[in-house]
Amino acid sequence: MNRKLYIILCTLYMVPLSLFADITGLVLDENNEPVIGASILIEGTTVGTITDFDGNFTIDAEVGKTLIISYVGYTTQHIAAKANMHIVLVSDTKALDEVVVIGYGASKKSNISGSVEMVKADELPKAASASVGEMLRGRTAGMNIAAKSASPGSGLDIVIRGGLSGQKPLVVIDGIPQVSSGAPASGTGYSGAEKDNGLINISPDDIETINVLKDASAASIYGSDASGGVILITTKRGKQAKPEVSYSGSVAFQTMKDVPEFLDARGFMTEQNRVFDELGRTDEQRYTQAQIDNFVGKGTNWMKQVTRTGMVNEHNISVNGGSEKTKYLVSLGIYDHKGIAKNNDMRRFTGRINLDQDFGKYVRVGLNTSFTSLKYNDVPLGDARQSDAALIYSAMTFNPTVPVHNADGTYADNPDRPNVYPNPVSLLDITDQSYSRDVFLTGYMEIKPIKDLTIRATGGIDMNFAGRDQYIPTTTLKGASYGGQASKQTSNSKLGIVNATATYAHNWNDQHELSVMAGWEWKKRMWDGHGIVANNFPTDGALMNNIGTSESENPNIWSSKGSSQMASFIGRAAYTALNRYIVTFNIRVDGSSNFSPKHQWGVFPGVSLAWRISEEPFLQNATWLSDLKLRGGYGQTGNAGSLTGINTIYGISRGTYVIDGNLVNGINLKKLGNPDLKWETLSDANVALDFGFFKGRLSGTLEFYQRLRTDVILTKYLMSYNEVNTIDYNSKEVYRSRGVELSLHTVNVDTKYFGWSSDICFSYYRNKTIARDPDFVPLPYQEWEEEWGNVYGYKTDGLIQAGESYAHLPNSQPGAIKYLDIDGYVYEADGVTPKRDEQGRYVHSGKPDGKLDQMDMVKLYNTTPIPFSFNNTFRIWDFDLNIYIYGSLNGHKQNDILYQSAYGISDLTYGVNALSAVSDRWTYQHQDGTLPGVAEANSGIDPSSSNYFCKSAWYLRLDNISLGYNFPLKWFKGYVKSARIYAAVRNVAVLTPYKGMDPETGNGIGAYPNQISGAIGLNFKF
Amino acid sequence: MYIVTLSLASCDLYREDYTEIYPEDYPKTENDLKLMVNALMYEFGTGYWNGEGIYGANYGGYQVMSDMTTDVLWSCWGWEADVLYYQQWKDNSTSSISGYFYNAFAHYQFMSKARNVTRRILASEAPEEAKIHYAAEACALRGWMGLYLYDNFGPVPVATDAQLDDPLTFNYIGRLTEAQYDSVMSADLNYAIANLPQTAPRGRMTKGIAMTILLKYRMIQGKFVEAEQLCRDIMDLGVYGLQANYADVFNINNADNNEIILCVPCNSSASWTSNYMIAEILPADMPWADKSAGWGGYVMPWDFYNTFKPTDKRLECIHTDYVSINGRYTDKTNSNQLKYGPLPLKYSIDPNMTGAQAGNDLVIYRYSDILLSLAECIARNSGVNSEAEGYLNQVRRRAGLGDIMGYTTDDFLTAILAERGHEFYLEGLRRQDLIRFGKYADYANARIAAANASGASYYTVTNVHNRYPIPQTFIDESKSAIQQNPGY
Repeated sequence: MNRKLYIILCTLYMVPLSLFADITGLVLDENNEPVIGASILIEGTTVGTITDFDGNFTIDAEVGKTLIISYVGYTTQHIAAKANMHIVLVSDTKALDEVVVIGYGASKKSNISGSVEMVKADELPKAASASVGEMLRGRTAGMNIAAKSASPGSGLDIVIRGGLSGQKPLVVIDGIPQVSSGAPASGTGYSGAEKDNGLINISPDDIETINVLKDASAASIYGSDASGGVILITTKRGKQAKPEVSYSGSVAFQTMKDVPEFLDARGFMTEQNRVFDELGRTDEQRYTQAQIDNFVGKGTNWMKQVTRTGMVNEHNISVNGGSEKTKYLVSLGIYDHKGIAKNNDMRRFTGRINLDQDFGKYVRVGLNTSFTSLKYNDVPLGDARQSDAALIYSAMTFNPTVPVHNADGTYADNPDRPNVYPNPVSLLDITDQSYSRDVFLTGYMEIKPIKDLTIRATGGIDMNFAGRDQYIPTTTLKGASYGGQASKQTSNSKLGIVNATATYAHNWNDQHELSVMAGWEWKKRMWDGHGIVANNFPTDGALMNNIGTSESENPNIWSSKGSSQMASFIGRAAYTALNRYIVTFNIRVDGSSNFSPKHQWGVFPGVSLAWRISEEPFLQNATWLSDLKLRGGYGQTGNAGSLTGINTIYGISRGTYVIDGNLVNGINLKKLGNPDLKWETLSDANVALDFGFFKGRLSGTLEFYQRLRTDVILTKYLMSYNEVNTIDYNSKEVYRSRGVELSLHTVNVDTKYFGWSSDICFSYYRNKTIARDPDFVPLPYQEWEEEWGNVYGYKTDGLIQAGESYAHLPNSQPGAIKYLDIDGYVYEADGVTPKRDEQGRYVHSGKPDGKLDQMDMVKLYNTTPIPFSFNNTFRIWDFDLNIYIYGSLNGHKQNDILYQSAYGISDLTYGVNALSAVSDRWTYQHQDGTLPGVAEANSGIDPSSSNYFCKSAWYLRLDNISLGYNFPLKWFKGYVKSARIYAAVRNVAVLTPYKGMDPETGNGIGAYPNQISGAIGLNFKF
Repeated sequence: MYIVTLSLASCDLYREDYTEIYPEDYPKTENDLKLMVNALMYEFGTGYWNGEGIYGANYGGYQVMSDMTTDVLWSCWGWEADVLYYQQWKDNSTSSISGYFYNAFAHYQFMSKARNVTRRILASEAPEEAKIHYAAEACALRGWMGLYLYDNFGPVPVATDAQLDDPLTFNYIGRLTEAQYDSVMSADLNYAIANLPQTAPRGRMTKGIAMTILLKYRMIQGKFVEAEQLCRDIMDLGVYGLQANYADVFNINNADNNEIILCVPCNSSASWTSNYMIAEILPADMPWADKSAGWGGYVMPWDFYNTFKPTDKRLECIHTDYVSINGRYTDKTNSNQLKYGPLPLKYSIDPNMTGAQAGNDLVIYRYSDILLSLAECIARNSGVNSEAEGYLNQVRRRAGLGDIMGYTTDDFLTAILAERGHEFYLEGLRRQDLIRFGKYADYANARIAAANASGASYYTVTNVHNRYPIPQTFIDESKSAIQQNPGY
């Protein structure tokens, strides 16, 4: 009472002098620890300050004005200004009650009963990543993402819960499914890496949240499109506030990280001579010892010739704000990536306008529009060898003794075998430009005619225009043989959608919460495209841009067009009793033009239950428990993706024959329709426990699931005499996925100056074929019930040593791989016919039989990944530090480059370079060599059918280390709302026992080398 | 919501795909029928490497495989070429060339395809005349493939119409008997002969083609009386004659010459319709067309080359040496290829040959075969006479060789076989010629003996090899209803 009086007096006393005074105060958390850096803002102004290290603040404010005190993780408070304020911030328990997008609606997180993951885009490190898919690697348990290549804009394998359906996840942006897109194939011998055609079309900076519907109890609302799971992306929207401008940008430099070591010129010459010796062809040796000794330098490092330091430049700017009635967000972004391979670039422009406008109390209208332009300059990539070799393989293996150019300026050839292998640098002359332009236009109208009822209609279109231009000039070997080759291709796709939903939601005294949604949707997919590939041009100068000058008689031309439609009914009912008993029911009925008349409508239901145990009265006093929820669900989705086998169709083939010197077309029966065919069904069961302890210091989710895929569409072989001898049918095969997922969030340290929190994601699953067609005959090494990812082959035991010979390896000389003969057939009485068991499978004798055949093959290993990630965020004074590790705890891979170098060792005689490691091959002079010698190539057995070159390939990638500094806002006198500068290193290191290229992206013999990137970046808002 | 639902109920869902044609729209017009027959011709193409077309230039192609199992063709690439040249296919599963047998036998499906196309044509609503014409073409093509299959394997299984109408039922059908197969072949080819025109653009079927196919079938069957009549019928058509110069038959500028009865027309602008026979033989460094590239593999073995008279004009097409593009004189002393034999570069230079792709039509059957077959049939049916000698000598005179007169029938037939070898090398006729004369295995054993004398260890072969083994896959699939050829 006294105190109050004092303040009033004080205030009164000061009034005559000024209306303003220095208000001081102290901000504490619930544990009476000072809160550092809490923001204090005078409401309705931009005047503000932050607390110091002791939690104290001083602000020039009129007494009685409302101060807004906020700090991340705590509930924002509005308090009238007074002297000597003492403010206790309370942890934001609402964090538990975030709104989660669930498809055709949203729900409080506490009321979710299905399996839905949520990621906030702002929490992901963005430097040097173009696609949010790339950033999401490892971020959510149950969604495994692997990059297919380390090239700019590379394609991603996104696999939700084991990928049992074989379909990609459905990506839905602000309620509208994304159309599948991507530049068409060139139709020539050269192509770049496969691209990310989905998530890359959206700027990561525009994304607010990403929700993943993992199980069918949640995803069944998307019915026959949802068998691969659903990724729901919500973009940022305007807020009711003064305009806020945000900028984020970074510059990153990249250097090549995993390049295998190939022989230099001297090593190459020496090894080539030795290989001639080993092949008994010493007379063909090309180099004298003197020539080798006198060779100046190391020869041409072809890899160096075709690579450079990569650079990523990324800038995003957005403005958002709005009044009570109108809210807007406008953003622009550019992402420019110069890859580490010369001439390999990617550039993306993105623009977005999101608008919301209220008309009176009952109607709201909104617009989401975005435009994305993607441009690539590609270089030839791939695993082809010899004349088709692409940039990377060719740079690894081209003869190192020749220079890049001949004296006359032409590209040097491999003298050991002319006119076969392309000069790697010449491949950089190839022009390969592709583009993809994506226009996304959607609008909605929301009407609230009565309390609790919302009617919402959405219409939208996603249009993708993509194309590719390529020219292979005559300076390349291939181009020369074609007289120059040009390709122009386009492919367009569109998805138009209209839907309307009505949602009734009512809360009866916090005792009963009910939400019922019913809706209807119509969707049309359209695609068209055309292209031409022509040869023989008078000059290289016009590239592909004057294709009419081609002298080809029969340029390869094509065009196509098609569309399909789907109409659906959707419904959902969610009921929560007493804040703790939750039931959700989803249903979707799809009718599709792709379905056969016999099965025109598919019904896909989902139901889930949840019990928030922590809300039970008997646990109200358990302060150690902040959240405990047990959930369970069951649902079905469909897989109509491969439902193309319904119709009997004829197809036109171009140039089936030559009549009178000219190509003529033909029409033949292409496919035998099966009118009984229906979609595959995926049935999911899910049990999960969400938990939080010690006021959220430890929280997480543990989930168990089973998914069954039935009515699997397979191709049946009919008797081979039939005109068309295959037909698609719903088989009796059943595939099953079982798995467990654990995500943990811990707040390890949380003090004034130092905070440390961690996230751990772990998934384990195995896919298995558990039923087969009755007439299926397993291979000798195959189980009736078979795990996916099994790799079968011969076992090996080192190399055959001098003097050894084996009856089962009649063509293997010393130095060849010792494949093991471990089993054989049992024969019928006639002694010739191998005996089969009742399943039709060959019976194993269990004894070596002197023959190496499929009876000797065994399961070598299983390649199913075990995704794992470990994220650490530190706060030290005004600095923030993030360390992120992801990887797979299981993996096996053949070291393809080592395999190619060792098995193809005799290619050295053609001037094809090999890994330096091949000098450790077995020869009579080097009998303890660990790699097979020249004898292996004559063994008649391909080592890739054995475990010889396979190694364990689990890995942990230190994907991100970033250190940021948040500038104290007082420096900017209130003009800046936040400012952060950071430095990041991406792909710092990979821990793995695998010795080949990158265990994630280093696939095949021509993989794009992965990079380490160093970035600096700046984010600020004003 | 109610209105929306109603409108949906009345809304049909459509699917469009302009690359697909549905049975209710096809076939209707004369052009539809033509396109259907064109599609059948695909399997006689030259440029596929996995056996989809039977006239490829690789080891699996009919002409190459047939000739390479005889004395007229070999390849310096060894391995599979040696397996063929020494006929070392012991059984049907372990041989490295079993894939070629598989690809060849798989074409028995064509009998079903062509039959269905014929029926579809006859059931269509196109004009009657067009229906008969294109049905006759389909029948001729069926006869052609029937000949190919019979030539390689003997009778194969042929599904009945009822079996074809019910593809979902698994019928385990065995091979036809010789008589049943004869009736299938006769029915198809006689329908074709009755309804096809005498002349047509290159590539389309004619009366003469159908007659020649039937003739080749009769020759394999040993039905020389019928064969003799067919030869005379073909001559009576008055369409065909001998070219003055042997090399002119294979000249790309003379593609329409009237010696060729059946060819597989080629067009070098598409990879799958090109003639690769030249590239298979042509050494990489031998001058040829401006943009051509040779693979330098196939040769005519020296032993066979040496059986030609040096004055034989047909040797003009066979190169024993050349000056390379680098100016190096190349012959059997310094060429790994010529070491095995000279180069049977029978097809003329196509100036537009690009890479390995040439546009020379592949010659399948021609008039000099009719003349020599007639001479042979007369000798077999009624002993040699001056008429028979006349036909043989027509062919010899063109080659610049002297007449053969007054031979005994046996000597005459021996002369015919020798003449056929010199006349038809690289045309794939040698295998059946040797088989008909009972020499196929004998000649192979002579080659085997010579190779074994210099260190090889080939096993000797028997007449079992006159037919190729039927791939086990098809025997298994038919639950052994398909019987393997005896001896395998």
